[in-house]
Amino acid sequence: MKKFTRRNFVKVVGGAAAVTAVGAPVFSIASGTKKVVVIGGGTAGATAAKYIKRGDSSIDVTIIEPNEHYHTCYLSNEVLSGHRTMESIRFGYDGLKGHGINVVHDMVSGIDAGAKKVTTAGGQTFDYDRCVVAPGISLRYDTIEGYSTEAAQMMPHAWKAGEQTQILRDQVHAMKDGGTVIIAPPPNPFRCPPGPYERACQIGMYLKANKPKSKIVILDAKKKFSKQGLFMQAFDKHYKGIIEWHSVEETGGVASVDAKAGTVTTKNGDTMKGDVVNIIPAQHAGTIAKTAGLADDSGWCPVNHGTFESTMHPGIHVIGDAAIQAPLPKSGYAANSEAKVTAAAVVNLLNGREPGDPSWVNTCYSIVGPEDAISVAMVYNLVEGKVAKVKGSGGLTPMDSSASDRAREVQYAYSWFNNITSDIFM
Amino acid sequence: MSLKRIVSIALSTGLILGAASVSAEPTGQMLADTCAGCHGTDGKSNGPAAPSIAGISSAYLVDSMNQFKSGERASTIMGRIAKGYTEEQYAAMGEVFAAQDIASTNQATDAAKVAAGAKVYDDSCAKCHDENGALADDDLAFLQVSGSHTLNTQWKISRVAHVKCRRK
Repeated sequence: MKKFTRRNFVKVVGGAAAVTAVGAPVFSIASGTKKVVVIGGGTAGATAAKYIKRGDSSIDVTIIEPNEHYHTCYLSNEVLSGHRTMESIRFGYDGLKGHGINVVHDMVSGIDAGAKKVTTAGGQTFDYDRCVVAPGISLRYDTIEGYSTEAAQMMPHAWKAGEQTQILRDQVHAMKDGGTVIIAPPPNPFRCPPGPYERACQIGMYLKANKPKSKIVILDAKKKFSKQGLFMQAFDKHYKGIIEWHSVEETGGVASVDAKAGTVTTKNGDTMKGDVVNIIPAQHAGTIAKTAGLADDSGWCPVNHGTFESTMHPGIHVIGDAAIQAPLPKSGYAANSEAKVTAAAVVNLLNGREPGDPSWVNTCYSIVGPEDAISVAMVYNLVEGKVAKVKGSGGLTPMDSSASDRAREVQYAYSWFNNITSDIFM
Repeated sequence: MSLKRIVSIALSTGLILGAASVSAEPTGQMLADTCAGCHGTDGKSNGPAAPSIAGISSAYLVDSMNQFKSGERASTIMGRIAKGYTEEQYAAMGEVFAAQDIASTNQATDAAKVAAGAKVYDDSCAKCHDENGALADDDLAFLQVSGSHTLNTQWKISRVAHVKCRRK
């Protein structure tokens, strides 16, 4: 490793320049304190705030988030099966405050990219030198006839964790044995691509143990989905006769719902009654990203992949699910990873340096049965200005991995949760 | 002044014109930060299974990653991740984790098992993992084992490859 340092040292500074660099360290002469405003206190936003402060404690970092607590979407499916409490997925902002970050609970109403100002519904204004926008997703209720925020109280999406998770959990637990749970996963792109199928497994685990005559019908808006081979294997192995998956090619997908009647009608015209109906609608970037003109016609936010700076408005970085980051997925791990790349870029740029070269990882576990978890992983780098998968890296849990390895993956999934939430919020 | 420190100062001053256009790869810190989601911030794991990697020697990390990459060391997921980096990148990450303090885990223990385990340690483990295995400069790259997560230690011992002792 010493060799590496020396090599890098020579490569970066060159022979003679090193003497100058060491002899006369000049720190960037800034006019006043640099200010960063982070919008959104979820996985991406909270990580960015923490790592910007960690990278340069002199930067004044403010994070604006309406809620006093954040519920993670990851592992919220375990709340549905009863294997995890709501408390265990709830996180506050004292950890960030402890790092010297200003935490403001308010709703951002506008971003003036020209004047570099953020305004809130509560009437506050914040100046920034750089702004990081991490608003997550907005749900497109209008893509399914009859679905709305009101209908979601009866047919929860549970795709933003918290109250919605509780509603779905309570419905599943109150359902009679022999009942039907309908899950309608969204079209691409959407938050947490394996999430709907892990959800089926977690609800399936509860039903198999408690209400074995019940069924789960998945009415997909897609022909294929994330970790499909492994999920189909799990459906067959653990939930035969309980979970059935229907491709969009069979049903056309969900066209409309009647929340009061508890019915779902497919585009092919079939109507089905569900005792519990989980509608996960199509998605776009979070509302403020659209309001601030950061989203393009796709509904998502185009960014420079090297820095995650918006290509619509300079000085504003968009990270997490709201960004167009493919081939990185819209996952919690990717959001955390994007936030660190962005934090490094923001710190470097505010100190008059080049942003630096990025590296990303995604690691995602799905717990599909008792003592049975599967994963997908990938390492990414920047190639010709775009995020690219590092060839030969990553991939899925092997279809034929041993039972003991599957059991270990459950424990690694819990480690993942404990460590990533601590990395974000503590 | 170490080279590492010089590089750090050189970079922080921003004096080096065109540094980014010259640097062809991410810094060790950038690479190491991507590990935190599974191994904890700065490599200090909250468990129950993923091991802490804070304070391990760079040689041990490079050795492990090479073994994960080749499949010589069995794994569930690390082999897939190890394939995403070059040996120089392993070393760059290794320097970052080697600079951290060793993370010791607070966990519930059974006094009887601790006593029995202490004997096994003295008889079978100490010759390699001596001084709690905390020999960061040991060229043979042995892992620090005291304070590590119980579950992970059990798994490591059970992996067949471990039986091949390297110090007789």
